[in-house]
Order: sequence, then structure tokens, then C-alpha cells
Amino acid sequence: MLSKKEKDLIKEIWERLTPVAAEIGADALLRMFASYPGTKTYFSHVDISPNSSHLLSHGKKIVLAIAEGAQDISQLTVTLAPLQTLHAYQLRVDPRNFKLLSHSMLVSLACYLGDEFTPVAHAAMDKYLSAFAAVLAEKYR
Amino acid sequence: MVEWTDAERKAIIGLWGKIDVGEIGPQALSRLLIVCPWGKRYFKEFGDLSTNAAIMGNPKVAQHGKTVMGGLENAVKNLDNIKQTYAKLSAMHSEKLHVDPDNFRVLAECISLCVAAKFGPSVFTAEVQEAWQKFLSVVVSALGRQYH
Repeated sequence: MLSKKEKDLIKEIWERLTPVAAEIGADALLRMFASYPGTKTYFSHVDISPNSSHLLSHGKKIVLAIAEGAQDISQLTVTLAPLQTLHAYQLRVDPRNFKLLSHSMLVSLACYLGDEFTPVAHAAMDKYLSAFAAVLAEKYR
Repeated sequence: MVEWTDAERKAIIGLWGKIDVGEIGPQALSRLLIVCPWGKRYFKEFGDLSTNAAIMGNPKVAQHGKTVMGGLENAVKNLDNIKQTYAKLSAMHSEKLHVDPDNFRVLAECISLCVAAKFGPSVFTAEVQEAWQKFLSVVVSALGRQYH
């Protein structure tokens, strides 16, 4: 359960990160690919090397979607409806991988925010990303 | 047997050399209790854990965090024999402490995040993270090995 304070904090952080969405997203993806090589299997058809245009554009897409969801967390199911369909029927990414990207995203946030990645921010982000992943997987079965 | 590349050994030992056990340990354990509050079930004798401030200021949490983090020294010194090195601790966590081994994984994640926040992306690169997380996952596995 996210408190109002946590929702405001999450919204504020993601708003601040929107201008560097490509960098944060690409960093999180790179970290995920390095630590969990199985995740690379979903990208065998594209160039995901560091600084590749696909890595940056894909990273940006992911961060912007997370930021959009953060604008109104109570509406997550509505906001994510198109992405739910995409992941369930087309991409078919095993939803267990969402946890791996969430952790990698937290590491990127920790690196980027440093001291500002306080225990409160960490807990709030962890809860939000878990909720995001759960909603994203809702149409799978 | 775990296979370590030269790069991984270098990364793990290099990162360990930078880590202040008395700093990162307490931070990581505090975060575990704040992010996964059900972990408090194992620390009933630690006193006040009712608020984030209480957790972060609790001297028993700090001491235990330091102890746990310090224990990783044995693993760093015995990279090729972590399973044996942790066998007794594993048995203790199972038979005496009755800790759900999933908590080891969560604590490992908290340690990585504290390290990331402390050292930033130029030190905690994707490659260093991979080596460090592989190291922690071996320790986590060793800690869960003697459960029955």
C-alpha cells in the first residue's frame, strides 16, 4: 500500500528524471543484461550494445512509461492497459523478468540519486515498481 | 563449483576494499527492515523498530548489520570455497534462528543498492555490479544450503 506521501515522492522523482529518461533507462537495461544474461534473449534481433540507438530509445520508452504511471498511481490499470495487451499477447516476456528490470532500475536510481536514494525513497520505489509489474502482467492469464 | 573470471575476482576484491563494513552493513540491514517490514519478526529482542527513525537509530540493528557485513570478509577471502565457509552459519540460521532464506536474497539486494548509492555509476558499473551480485548470490545460496 502506498501512502499519499509516498505517491507524491514517487511522482516528484520520476518527473525529475524525465529529461534523462534515455540515460537512466539505457543504464538500467545494460545492468539487467549484464547481471541476468537470460534477459538478452528478448533482444536477439536488435543491437543492445552500450550507447546503441536501440538501447537508448528502448530505455527512454520504459522510463517514460514508468513516469507516466507515477502521475496517477491509482489509475495504473487504466494507464497501462495498452502495455498490458502488448506484453501479454505480442511480446510475451516472462513476467518473472519484470522483477529483474525493477531491481536493475533501483540500482540505476541509487547510482543517479546517491544520498537522495533514502530508505524512504527506496521503499516507495520498490513498492511502486512491484505494483507496476503486477499490473503489467495482469492480462497474461 | 563456482567459476570466477579474473575480471570478476578483481571486481569483487576491488569493491570489497572500498567498502566500510561499519557504514554499509547498518544501512543495508535498516533498509531491509524498512523495505520489507515483515523481516522484523526475527529481531523481536532488538527493541524499538516501530518507525523508520527508530530502525535507523537502533544500535542493535547497527551492530548486527556490521556483523553480517563483516562476515562477507570470509567469503571474499575464500571465493573458491564459499559453500564450505558458510556451512556452519547456514545450519545455525536454519536450526537455531529459523530464518526464511528468502531474506538472505533481499538483504543482498539491499547491500547492492547501498553500495550503488555510496559509490555511484563510475565505480559500480554494470560489470562490477554483475560480479558483485554473482558473489552475493553464491553467499546467499551457501547460507541456504544446510536447510532441511
